[in-house]
Amino acid sequence: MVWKMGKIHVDLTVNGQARELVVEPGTTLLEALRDSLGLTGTKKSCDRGECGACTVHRDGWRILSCMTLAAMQEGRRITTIEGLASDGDLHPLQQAFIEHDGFQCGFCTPGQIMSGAAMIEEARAGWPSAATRDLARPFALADLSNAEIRERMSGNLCRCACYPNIVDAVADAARRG
Amino acid sequence: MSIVGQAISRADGRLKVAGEASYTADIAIDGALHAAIVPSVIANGRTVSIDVSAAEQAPGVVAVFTWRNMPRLNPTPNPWSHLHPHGQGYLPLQDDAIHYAGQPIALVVASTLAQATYAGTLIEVDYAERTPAVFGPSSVDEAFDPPQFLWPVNSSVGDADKGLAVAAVRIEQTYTTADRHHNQMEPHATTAVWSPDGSLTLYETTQHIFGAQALVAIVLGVPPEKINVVAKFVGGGFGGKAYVWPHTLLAATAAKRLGRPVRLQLTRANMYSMVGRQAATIQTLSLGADRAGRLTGIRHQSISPTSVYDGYIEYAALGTRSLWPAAEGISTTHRIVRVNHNTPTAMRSPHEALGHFALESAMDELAYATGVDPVALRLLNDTAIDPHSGRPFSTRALGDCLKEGAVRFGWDRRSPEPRSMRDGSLLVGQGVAAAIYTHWRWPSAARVTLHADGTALVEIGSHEIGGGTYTVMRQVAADVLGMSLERVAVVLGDTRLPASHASIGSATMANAGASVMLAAKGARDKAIDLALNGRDAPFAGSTAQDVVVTDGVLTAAPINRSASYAELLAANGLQSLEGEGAYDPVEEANGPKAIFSFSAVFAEVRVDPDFGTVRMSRLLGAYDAGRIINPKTARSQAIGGMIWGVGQALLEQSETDPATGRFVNRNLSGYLIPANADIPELEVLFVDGFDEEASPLGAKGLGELTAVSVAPAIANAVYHATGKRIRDLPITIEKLL
Amino acid sequence: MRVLALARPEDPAQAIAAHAADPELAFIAGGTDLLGLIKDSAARPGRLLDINHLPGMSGIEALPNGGLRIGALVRMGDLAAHPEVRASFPVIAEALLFAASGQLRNMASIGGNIMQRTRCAYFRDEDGLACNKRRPGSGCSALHGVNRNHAIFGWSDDCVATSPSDLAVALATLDASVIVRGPFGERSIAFSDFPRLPGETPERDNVLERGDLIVAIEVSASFPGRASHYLKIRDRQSYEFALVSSAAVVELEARRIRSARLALGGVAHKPWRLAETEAALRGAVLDDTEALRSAISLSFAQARPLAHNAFKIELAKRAALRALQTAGTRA
Repeated sequence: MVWKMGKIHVDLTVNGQARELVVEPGTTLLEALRDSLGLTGTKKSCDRGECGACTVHRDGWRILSCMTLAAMQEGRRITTIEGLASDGDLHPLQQAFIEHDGFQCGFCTPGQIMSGAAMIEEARAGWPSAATRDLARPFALADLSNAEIRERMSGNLCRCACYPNIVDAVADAARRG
Repeated sequence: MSIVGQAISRADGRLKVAGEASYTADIAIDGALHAAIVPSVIANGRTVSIDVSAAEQAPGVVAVFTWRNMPRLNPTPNPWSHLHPHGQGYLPLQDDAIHYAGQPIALVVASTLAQATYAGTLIEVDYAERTPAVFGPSSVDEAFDPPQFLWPVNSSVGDADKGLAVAAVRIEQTYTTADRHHNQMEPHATTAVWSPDGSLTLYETTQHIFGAQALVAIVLGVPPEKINVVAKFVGGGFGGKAYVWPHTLLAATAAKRLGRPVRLQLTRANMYSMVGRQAATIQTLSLGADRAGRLTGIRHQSISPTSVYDGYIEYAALGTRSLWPAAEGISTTHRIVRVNHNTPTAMRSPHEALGHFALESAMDELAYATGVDPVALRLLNDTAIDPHSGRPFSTRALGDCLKEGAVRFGWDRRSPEPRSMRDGSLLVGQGVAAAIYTHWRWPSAARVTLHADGTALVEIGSHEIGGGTYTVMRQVAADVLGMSLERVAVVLGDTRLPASHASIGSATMANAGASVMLAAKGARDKAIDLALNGRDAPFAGSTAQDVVVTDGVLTAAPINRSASYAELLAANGLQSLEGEGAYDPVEEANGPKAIFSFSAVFAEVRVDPDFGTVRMSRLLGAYDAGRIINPKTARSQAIGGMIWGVGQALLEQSETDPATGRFVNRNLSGYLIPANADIPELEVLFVDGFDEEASPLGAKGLGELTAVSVAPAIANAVYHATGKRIRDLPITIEKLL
Repeated sequence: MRVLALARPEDPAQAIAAHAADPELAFIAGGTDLLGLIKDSAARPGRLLDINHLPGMSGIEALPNGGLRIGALVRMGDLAAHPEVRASFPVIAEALLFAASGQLRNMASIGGNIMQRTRCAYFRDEDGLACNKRRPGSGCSALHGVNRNHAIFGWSDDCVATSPSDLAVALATLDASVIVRGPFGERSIAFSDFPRLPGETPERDNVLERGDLIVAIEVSASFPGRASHYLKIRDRQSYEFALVSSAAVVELEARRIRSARLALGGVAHKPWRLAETEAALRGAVLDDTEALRSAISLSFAQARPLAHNAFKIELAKRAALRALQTAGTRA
């Protein structure tokens, strides 16, 4: 067993590119993305897993980058808001956020969009939520009602409180597939 | 069709959805050091000793400041003014006194934030502690009459006591609201960068760049022209970033002393002590009315806490002065009490959202006492004259808000008896409340420049805090210039731009917007002048009145001639053409008309009678905010305000530990703000209007208005659902069991 | 945050040996609770063992007897979505889905979930207030402080905190056990014996010793879990810890209760089983609400409210009733 101390080297993939991070043992993934890689689209707001502003994807799943350590991400595939668009084309959910005005100040928006994009995939994979009426039944994307979206997006707080527009944007993007 | 009034998507939308909008802490500054605040554990007393030796030896630490070695600051100016607004008059690290928990007692500056934070934990402090003063029922006896702050402290029109004495029906109740914190998603941050020539650039999370410039100049003793404040994107303000708080002064002073840029971003926990909050209130509201429900007298008395060093007043009874007339008279009073918390500040919606809870709850109680329908009761007491000043309202479409709102909400299907409506096992309740909101008039300057390539640039020292300033200013300029939106760019958030006012109090559209309109007119008129009188004057012989501009092309229809802006500039050898806009309105109180915006809020709740849980099922806001420049961004602002009110009504309270005087729930799992699942479908209705007294744009304030009277509408709905009148916010489970 | 070193053990034995030998070492899996504690200085491990890659701890297996073996590293989200859990143990799926947020459920491990420390604001306070759980002997700030969220059962003058895990409340109603490997081998701890009451040593949340590694949670089918329900009451509709919660599992014979198990969350330092109630419910008719109510009341004789949480007594009774009735509809 190798103890890593001082400056730790971590090889991982960020937004499709192989990157090497040099971090301290206690550096969170959030701090590493912002401070080491300059990916400031991911925001620090509560730094305690209580708001969702730092949401990124790890191996395709939405997680909170403030509540995991950078040194634990060896070999992982991380996607941030900067990596969601492809070749300059916005992700359908990014486009839907603009059309439905799913934000005001915009600070929580990267987290909302990263959360929403992965959440649609969770629903597609048949995952239920606390809003699902019959847990025993397989969940289908068609079951993704507004009540389902509200519950599944509740891990992303928005103080400007654009919630209804966020729900509309996510529903729209889920429909567009 | 005019671009103004259209539902345009945000100009900065792409930046925001792509993570490319840079907020203060996102801006990379070469060589910047990072600072962390060491907060006081106690709320009252003084530090006896502070041992910083271990912290100073910790890795990466560059300096540790305490009151002993912190450079002395100039006192904040007296009287307080919006032009140089300090959040608190007690300045950081100037002496050994402790006046509130979380007060900075040291500032650690290190190469990284992690190093600064860790070193802070190594500082050993001995305190001499005194019992802290906290706000509570006994505060009623300790409250005193404060000196005037924003408005006269007390008001009296006619004889309110007589109005209550002669009343056939009287309501007299005490209503209380909780301490609340803004909890913007973006924590406050400052990066201070000094140049060798002694000038300072402050990257600052602020709703008031010019205010920050002026106040920092005074406190640091630097000429204001040597300070540049930059805020291109602000991650939510809600009043909490309007004034200057200690962290800004700490960062700027440390950076100066160390000769290196310093960044200081508050932690979430810092945000419960380093900056202001909405003060709790204890309000006594008395209404007298005749049997028909016509008001005869109103008395509204409010008590709120301030710090031990400032006299902040929460003017909870402000709206009561002007919302409803009373035949015999209206009186309002405000008193304050000193507690060991930091100075309160403006928080959406300051003054009105607190007082309206009392006033509009009492109106509902009056409706039940008289048997008059709550909507009808308000229509009965509607007025065209401001009861406070005696001036006519410039526009007051409150009646339309109530009537149109009631129709859309389906108010006529409501059965008035409490506990008479059900959905399965759930109790259903519907409530209404009306609101009035102050209109602020402030000066603002702007510049609009036409470029040779046919584009235009709008420059204004305003702010983007979420209201859509980039978007609506572009609309206003494009509309006046007769240009497509794509050709108009907006820059803001920099004190090198023309000076504007704070983006607070719902003032930006009406005031900053007016200056943009005037600047765009100036630029357009210069171009028209070139067409009429310039080189090769293509419109020679025509008049300015004949010229219209569409898609950047000026046309003098009577002579059938056209020329684009680009062609006119080229023909005259000009690279650009500037229009200056200086909007300088008379203060509202000195104008001929009383200017306010109005709303009616309709709420529907479902209450589980077993558990006392209140869930929103519908919420509708009907607004008279004058002309709506962009219905899309305005609607978003409105739903944001309504949800802000849901938080006030059902969730938000900063709890003070009675023994230590500390706020206990200093995080987002303890301080509950609404989550997505709390919010139903919302409906927003704008009543058509154009208020030329309020602004040449016809717009009145909207953002603050929308958070007013949500709480009483919900409380009234809860009463209708359960038969329980809750006069203490928030309405939590235990109050309904 | 001051974490000085991090390592990835190759196998459980290595992890266990390191943990047993080093009081400053902590296991980290999801990190969603531990990192918060570290940031608030409520935990100060200098060294972390990243156990996420330990073999054999990430699966959900159906046991021959119809039960489940849930690897300690299984994420909350995966467990909640598992078809067998949803069909056979809805109380588990619901407890998980009503907890935290989608993001946190994708991170947090099942082993870590039942190790979560209290949300008591005084314990979590980054400035380190008087708290016996944090600094034994320093006192309990919550006892006479703001204690709406605190215990009504089983508290001591040394600690009035409540346990925050929703899953633990569900497990308390099932025949569940915690499979622990330690320096002296593997053992199975009945879930009812796993969490502790505070007594005079509130710094200890459970019975684990140094060097103990949770490798799995087993849920036996000896007590069928299909007719079960987890009910959570909170101020906010989502993304909040329970003010009061209740898990119920019931076996019916026609409409008569053959046996029922009830546990409450948010009321004690551990999931609070209603033993007297369960005994009294035997043979009661599920539709006889009054009988259920009086059975539930029996377990509340021991309730002792604090200054701000007396309402929890009535709220918890009603929660238990509703959970029981809802579980009954699934029989």
